[in-house]
Amino acid sequence: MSEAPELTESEAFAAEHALGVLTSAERRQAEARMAADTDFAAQVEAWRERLEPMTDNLVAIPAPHALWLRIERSLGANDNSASVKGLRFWRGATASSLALAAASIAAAVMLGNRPPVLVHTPPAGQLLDASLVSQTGAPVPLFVAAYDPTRKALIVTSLVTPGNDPAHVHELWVIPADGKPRPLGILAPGKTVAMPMPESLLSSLAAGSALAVSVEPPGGSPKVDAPSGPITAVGKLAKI
Amino acid sequence: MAYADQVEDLDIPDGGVSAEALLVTAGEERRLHHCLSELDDRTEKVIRTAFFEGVTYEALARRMDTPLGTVKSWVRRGLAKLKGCLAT
Repeated sequence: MSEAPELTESEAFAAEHALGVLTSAERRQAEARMAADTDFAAQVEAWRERLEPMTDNLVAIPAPHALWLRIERSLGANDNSASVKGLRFWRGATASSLALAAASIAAAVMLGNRPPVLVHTPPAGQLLDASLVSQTGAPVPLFVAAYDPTRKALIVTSLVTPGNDPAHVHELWVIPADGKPRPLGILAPGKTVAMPMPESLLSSLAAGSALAVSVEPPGGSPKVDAPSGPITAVGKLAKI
Repeated sequence: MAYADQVEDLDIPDGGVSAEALLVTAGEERRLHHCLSELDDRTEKVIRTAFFEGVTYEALARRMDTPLGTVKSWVRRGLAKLKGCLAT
């Protein structure tokens, strides 16, 4: 292959982001740059498309059953070594009394013969995520959101560069199936927030629910049930 | 049998990927694998490892016991060649 021309610094950074070799700090820089610079975002997208076919000929290989059992046993919740230790103590303490020793050994045998108890933690709910993209010009992700059902919280990161528009704030809304927007909170530019979700809103957070961000005066929309400013980004929650 | 004819005319999507899209995907995949194989073995391996294992330059450099700058320039040169090859 002939010597290819070197990539520009910007394209090399885009390619490295698509390849996934950057540190977490550099990744954040790249995400912020994608939000601010549509050319750069397009370069990242082009590199993702170039590299993505690498995964096409992968074949899923199911893990052997015995491996699953071993993984289950190795989980903290299934660890019964503490009860085995307790048993050793009782065996020692009752050694002076033959009758008690016999009883404890009988108990030991009974306990020892019991199959390990596997704790199946019921799934707490579905993890969801959404990428909220700009509504003007090329679609660029401005916010990313993930719903964590164990914490019952929506974790939202603003990719907007801080200080661009100090006179306004970004307010996050969820629009469930009924189409009525519910305010979730204010998003500080460049920051990640975990928003605990009240029980009343949990049913709204399902795959397919829309999230939207509006530009509002400081303190948020003066209306309770609707944004007052323009919608800057929109995205849909999807199962991860 | 007017109704039957109409039903046959309906273009009912099966939810699968279209044959055309599959062909395009297969072509892209072949091209990428061809272009990867044109790279020298070391560069190909570094790029594949980075992509599939999601490891950073630092981790790659440690793993290969090679200075960070060297690994970085292998990858960047490799990506430039890959782009050139995919564009032809």
